[in-house]
Amino acid sequence: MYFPKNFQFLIKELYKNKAKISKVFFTIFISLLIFSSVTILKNSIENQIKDNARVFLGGDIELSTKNTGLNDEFIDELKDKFLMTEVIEFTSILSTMNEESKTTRIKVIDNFYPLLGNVKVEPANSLSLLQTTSNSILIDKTTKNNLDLKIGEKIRIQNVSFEVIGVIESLPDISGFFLFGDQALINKSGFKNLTINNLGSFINFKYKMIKKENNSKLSKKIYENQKIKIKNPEDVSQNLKRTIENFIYFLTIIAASAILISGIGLKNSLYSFLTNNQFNIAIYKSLGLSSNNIKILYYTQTLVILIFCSLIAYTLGLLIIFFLDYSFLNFLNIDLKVKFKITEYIIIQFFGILVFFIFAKPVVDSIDQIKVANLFRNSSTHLNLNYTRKSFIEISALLIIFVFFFCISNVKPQQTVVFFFFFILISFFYYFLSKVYVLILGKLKNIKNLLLNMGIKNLKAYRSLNSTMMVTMGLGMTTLFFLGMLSSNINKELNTSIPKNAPHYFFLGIQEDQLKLFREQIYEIDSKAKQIVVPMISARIETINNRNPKELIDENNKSFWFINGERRISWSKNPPFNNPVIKGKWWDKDEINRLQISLDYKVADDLKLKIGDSMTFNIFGNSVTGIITNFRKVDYRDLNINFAILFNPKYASQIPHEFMSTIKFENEELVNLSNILRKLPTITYIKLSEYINKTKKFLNGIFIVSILISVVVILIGLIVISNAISVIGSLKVYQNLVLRILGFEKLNIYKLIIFETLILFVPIIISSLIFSIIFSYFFITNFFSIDWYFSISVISIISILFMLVFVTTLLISNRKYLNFNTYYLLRNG
Amino acid sequence: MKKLYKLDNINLNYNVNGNDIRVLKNINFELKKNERVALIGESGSGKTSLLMLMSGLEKPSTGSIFFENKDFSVISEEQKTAIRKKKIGLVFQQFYLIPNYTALENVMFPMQINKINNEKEKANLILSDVGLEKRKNNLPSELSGGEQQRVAIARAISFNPEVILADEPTGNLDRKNTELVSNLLINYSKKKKISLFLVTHNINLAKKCDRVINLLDGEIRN
Repeated sequence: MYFPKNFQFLIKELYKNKAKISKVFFTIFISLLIFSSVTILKNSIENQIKDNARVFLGGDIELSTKNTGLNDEFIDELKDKFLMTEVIEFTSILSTMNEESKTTRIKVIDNFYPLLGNVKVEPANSLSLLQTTSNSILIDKTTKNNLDLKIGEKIRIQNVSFEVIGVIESLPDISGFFLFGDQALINKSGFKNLTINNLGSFINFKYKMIKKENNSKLSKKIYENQKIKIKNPEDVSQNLKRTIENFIYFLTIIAASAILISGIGLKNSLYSFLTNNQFNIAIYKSLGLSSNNIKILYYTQTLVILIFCSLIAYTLGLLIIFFLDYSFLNFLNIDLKVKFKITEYIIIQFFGILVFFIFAKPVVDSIDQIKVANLFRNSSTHLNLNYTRKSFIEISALLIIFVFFFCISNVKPQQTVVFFFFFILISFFYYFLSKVYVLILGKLKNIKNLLLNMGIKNLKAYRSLNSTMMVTMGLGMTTLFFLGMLSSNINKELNTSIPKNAPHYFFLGIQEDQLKLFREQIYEIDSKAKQIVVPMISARIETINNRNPKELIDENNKSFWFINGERRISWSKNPPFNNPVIKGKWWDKDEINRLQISLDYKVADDLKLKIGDSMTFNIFGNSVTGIITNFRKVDYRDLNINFAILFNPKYASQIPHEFMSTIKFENEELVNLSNILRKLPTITYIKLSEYINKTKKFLNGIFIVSILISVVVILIGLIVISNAISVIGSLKVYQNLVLRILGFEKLNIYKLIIFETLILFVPIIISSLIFSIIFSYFFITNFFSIDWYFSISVISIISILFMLVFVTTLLISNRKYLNFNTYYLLRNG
Repeated sequence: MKKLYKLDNINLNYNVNGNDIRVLKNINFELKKNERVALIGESGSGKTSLLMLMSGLEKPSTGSIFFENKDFSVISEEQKTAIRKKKIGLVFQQFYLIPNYTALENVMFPMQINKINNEKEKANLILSDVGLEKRKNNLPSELSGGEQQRVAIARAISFNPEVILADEPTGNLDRKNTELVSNLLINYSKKKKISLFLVTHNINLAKKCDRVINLLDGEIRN
């Protein structure tokens, strides 16, 4: 080996070419930075969830029941084997003395809470104070700010007064409050003064336990009791991961796109670098160095830079996530612990090197084509990026290694494989499109227009580079359109105003004997308010067609929520105005002896249910079986009353039930609920605008982070494309020079450049638009579960902006080759 | 004979690393229509620089170049380009053919940009005149040096310019091709009544011209 021994020469070469080589590595550096940031973010979240799963759950195991708690016998038995804290969670309304109110999830804790982790409160002793002081309450920051409360002030739950003794900074067991965390803590004595027994309070009894001994196990009867839900730390970490894994997956594929697009950029820049350096290479060869010696020189130089790039990218990535953690990422509700990990760095380095070899190999291999004879003829070689069978196999193997490791180290490996499959498929599509396109253009004869003729000739002459350009532009445009559509869809979701006919409030937990008073109170607040009142029960699906529903679908099914836990069910004489029947017949409203069921058709579709199938429900401990008679189209997004399950009214009304109501006031801002809350203290309400804001806060966090990363990827795409333009521009120096000397006006050369680009642009725009529509539709509907829409304005803006940036880059890149001074080249041949 | 070029007290200086280099000194001469002039001189004497000034590719430091009474120093770059397009045929030592155009397309090109009709037929005719009828569909890279230079000459005369400016047109050719190319240039110039101004080291070629100018250290010595 000649060069490794002659390290001094290598460094000298590197130093001399530093400006050109930095240009080659600029895009790959940026993409490694994105990749590092995403990897650090992903690993920090996963590690945090994994390391703290027990704390997030609040113990080694959690048992929970709805509506009623476990009996004392059960609890005593558990206490023999486990340390236990009993937490009761319910939803209620906090009202201030100034008649402000807010729906809050309240946790009732005992003296053992928390078993794991720390409750951060202000003042620090307020938790122990809460456990010993009756009718005291700890509220969270949002509640404190929204209700403008101070420590020492009184607030009411139902009609019971509580004193605010502190503010919650954070709770350790966040499993149930990951996203929407308005909460308060009270103690058991305070809870005993309240009447929490209706469906609207969504009451849960949770028993968080730590094993006294390693072999402490739950008894068989607990497992057999279908009312009891058992959670392990792994379930919590799985749930938390599932909540954010779409977000992480999105970031991951953006990073993968960035790294692959920058690989193409690296290929272009390296090609330009070698083309410009071919006289040097020819001179080295004439002095006796072999192609392999020179290749080793280039590989060693680039590896030195790559190691340097990866290290800086990784370190910057750590800093970025560290700062983002305090700003944009607080919507995740997790404190990320960011630190340098050698394994993480090695992974970044590994992927960087793989990408380098995948894209740089055919270019570096083209060194073989540079002939010493060029020096005699004073001519240069048009380097072709030809893929031999050997190089094709080598590159494919590297690509497979890249995809394999990328997929197994990321969330949703299967979907990541699908992404790579399509990415590579699209790359090939654009590659073949360029070939076919040039072939078709070549068949066009007798073209009278000189510029068109010249444009086609140039496209044919630089077909190898035009293929690269078309692949780069195609992938770039597809990514741009895709991200544009994704952003516009998320943005639309964020800006979606509450539908016009949507109610302002949902009132829950109205008992039959309270209904009259409730209606009167609403009438008193606003005589023109629109009220809809429907009955409601809670039931668990025991079997579907005599089978355990969990045997029908797994947790990944979109309708798993339907069979998991209790469902709220209502009934109606007629089909609800917003839920048209789309299959089957609406029932006989006088049928009293048979239970008939109406289902949301999407759920039915996911569970593969048919009209006539049977479902058995557990209602207040009794099993009731009914027949599915129709499917309805339920649009939960209209924010009116929507039940996945409806029963036939005569049968269902025999079941003990309560009511829920939606109210649309004439003017929401003038509404004062203090009287109704005082007279009907047990009811709960959900203010629609508040609820939507909470959802938006999370989506907004995702949106900002996604946009930030997307913008960087878009910039990478533009840099790569501008590099490709520069490469072609530099190769056309000679041609443009001759054209100018022959009297071809500068304006015409500019026109020719634009013309050529437009010829390339047409099929790219069409194809990338089709691809991005398909992919964004798939992504939006599957991962974000929101309605996809096509924004013509976003597409037009992206196209126009891209064209402007593209043509400007094109003209700037070529301008230097058209300057008068270029004619000095003539003297040197 | 009418005057085509008038070079009036031309000086050309370059500043290299802070040092002024006087490339051309007080150059005065005229080129008439249908006149053939050879410029000879040693390497570095300023021959190519003078040719570049005459083709409007470079500006003199002082002095004026008149082409058909138009002063190059007062007209725009685009106007000079237009003059080059319509009236000046250039032939270079390195040929400078458009690499991705065939011999025929290279010859057709000036006619196309000058919107001259029947360019294909005319180009075919010229190529057969220079003996390249069978090589017309070859790319420059597929032609020998002599063939490339013949294509370059064909291209230079294809649009009937007023003058051909040739920079060492035989500098890269063997003896046989030198003879062939020299004769082509001189004969065409005479036949089409095109002025010829050529820079050469080849005394035989220079002798075929009406007049020879000797350039020594940037000055004309007769």
